[in-house]
Amino acid sequence: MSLHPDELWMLHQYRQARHPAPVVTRQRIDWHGLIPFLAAGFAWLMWLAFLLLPTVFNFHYAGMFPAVSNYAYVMMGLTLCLAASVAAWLAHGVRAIAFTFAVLLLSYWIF
Amino acid sequence: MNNKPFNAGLAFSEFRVIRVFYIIAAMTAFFMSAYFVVGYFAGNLHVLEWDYSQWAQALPSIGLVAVMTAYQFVLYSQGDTEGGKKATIIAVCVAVAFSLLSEIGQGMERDHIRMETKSQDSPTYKAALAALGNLSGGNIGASPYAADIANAQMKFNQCMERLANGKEPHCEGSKGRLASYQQQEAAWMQRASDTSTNTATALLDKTKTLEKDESNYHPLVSLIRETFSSSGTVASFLLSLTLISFFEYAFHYLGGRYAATKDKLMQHGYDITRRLRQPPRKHDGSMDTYSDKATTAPLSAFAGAADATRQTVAEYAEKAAEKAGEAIRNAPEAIATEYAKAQHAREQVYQKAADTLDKLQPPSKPVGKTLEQIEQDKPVVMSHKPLEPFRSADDTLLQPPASPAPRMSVAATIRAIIDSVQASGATSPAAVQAATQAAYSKLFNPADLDAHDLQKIAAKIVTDLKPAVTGFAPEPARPAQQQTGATGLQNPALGTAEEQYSLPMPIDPDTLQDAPPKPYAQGLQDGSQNPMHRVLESPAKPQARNDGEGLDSLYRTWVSAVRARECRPSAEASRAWIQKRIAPSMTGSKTNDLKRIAAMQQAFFARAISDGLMSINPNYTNGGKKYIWIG
Repeated sequence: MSLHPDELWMLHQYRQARHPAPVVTRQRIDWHGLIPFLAAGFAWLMWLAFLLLPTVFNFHYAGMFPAVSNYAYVMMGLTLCLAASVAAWLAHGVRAIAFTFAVLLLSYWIF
Repeated sequence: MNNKPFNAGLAFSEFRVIRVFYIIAAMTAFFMSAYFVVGYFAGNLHVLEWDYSQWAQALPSIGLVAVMTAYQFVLYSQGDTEGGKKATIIAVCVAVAFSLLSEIGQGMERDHIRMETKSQDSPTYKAALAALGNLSGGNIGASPYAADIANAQMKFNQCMERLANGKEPHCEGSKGRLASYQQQEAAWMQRASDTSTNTATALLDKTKTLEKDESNYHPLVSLIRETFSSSGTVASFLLSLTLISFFEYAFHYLGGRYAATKDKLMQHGYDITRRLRQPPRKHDGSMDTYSDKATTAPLSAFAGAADATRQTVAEYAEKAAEKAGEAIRNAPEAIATEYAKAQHAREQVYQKAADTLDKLQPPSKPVGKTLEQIEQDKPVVMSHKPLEPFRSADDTLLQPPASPAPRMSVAATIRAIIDSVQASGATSPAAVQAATQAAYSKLFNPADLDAHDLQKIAAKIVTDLKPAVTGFAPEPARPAQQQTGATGLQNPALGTAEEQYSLPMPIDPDTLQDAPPKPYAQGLQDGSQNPMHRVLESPAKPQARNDGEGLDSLYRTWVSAVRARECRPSAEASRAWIQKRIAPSMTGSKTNDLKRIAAMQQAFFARAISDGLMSINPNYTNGGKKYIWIG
């Protein structure tokens, strides 16, 4: 279908009236995409509260175990937190949540 | 992340961050394994208290753990190995088994420490231990016969004294009493001793049990123990295995990411270090450095491709350089060939044009014609320059060469080509290209167009053809979520990017609703943002407007109908009105030209607004009038 030049001209005017300015598209927050990042943040929080601080300040049953062993597990938790962060960064959601679960398990088991 | 264009700086930064993470993971793995292995070999981890024999045990064990961890580090940093070779599987098994066992050993030891400490801190265990201490001291209490024995002993002694003085005939009575008491005490002591031993034994057993009470395991271990009806040791092993497996997978995952970021840099021709790599000396003793030979790229750039072709990096790089050099050496020849082809095509076109021109020229006059006659016989020759007579060496007049016929203008040439191609009915790009060439060759003295120009004309013709007819261009489509005010059609070839198409565009009446422009959230900033201003201040209309033409006439008829209240100034009513005029035999959705009708209605409205006959209702609400008829 081809329009007559008059039609084209009027259509052009019509479009100018209908589309006065460029539209700015609103970017919606991708909540599902945030879940891995929230999981990784939770992992760091648990690592800090239940692994690092008890080891450094001898909280809970930390004194029950050799300090070297405690610090070894703090480093293990650190590795898991780093892996969770990298997985969230690369949008590997399942891995991020799995590593967070491992930190949770470790935090509960360690002391 | 992978869809973004490659940025070497970002990729290198990402690589370095992942590398740091990976090294931390490797150090942790070494630390975890060394804790158990070294403690096992040396007996304990009190390094300052070790003697020579313990150091002799500890140092090899540290070396063993270091080698195994480095082995893991290199293995994991290779990324995913394809094919699952036996050697790879065995290597992974060895590395993982060693680390798992050593790290699980530490976990189990930790569980054991926890259980033992908690058991020995329990009050029950402490009380049992104290009772056992009392029993082991041999204190069975004072003998109940002690007073009787002492009394009998005293009387026996007095009796003996009187016997010595001759006052007593004998002391058998006292002696018998004393012996009787002593026998009873001995019997009692035997019984007490037997009882104490039995008690101590039972207490010892109880204390031993309390010393390692399995109920003092971690709740998770207890859960596994009770779930699988296993011992605490097995449950502790399973829990440690779970935890260490997660850690090992994290280690492996970071290694895989490290390999991926490294490969990404390599595949784009970048090294993984900023330092200059220096190759070793060659066999002839010479030293070739990159700084000396700037054109030599690092061989590491070929690592990925070389691995894919199962060649060494040097071999692959050499072959790639040979291929590149060959292509560069052959480049002038290829360019010359292409130029020759283009020149040949150009000459062919000229030749055909010349042949056509020759056919249209009048036959040559015989030699010897006078200049006046020539001047008279040249009605078809149009030249800006006057003809000059040609004379031979003997000063005789010669036939002048044929004057060039007037060339067609470029626009006329293109127009003629387009008409010819359209008449040929060619639709595919190849056919259009061929038709364009043929049309140009048939033109009489066309404008000077080369092959490139003809290609451009053919491309333009192809573009102007309706894509649905040609079937080779992607059909522009509206985005799935078309928004009011969006730019329009979406080209599938461009993905989500929108393309501005030249008019005309197919119009979807369902999406182009007659709603007035939505109000701005913050109002109009200035008059130029008002779309009505743009309409009223729009540039001059095209001069080609012809009041006598059908559309303009239809528009005026529509205006008259609205004024006479035969048609309401709404989109729906106007579309129905137009439909009755241009497609009266079809009704409603059966009309096969709905898009055209919608376009005409919109055009009518726009023109009416421009003419001041209509305005958009500023107080429009859903269900109300969108347009107000003024005229």
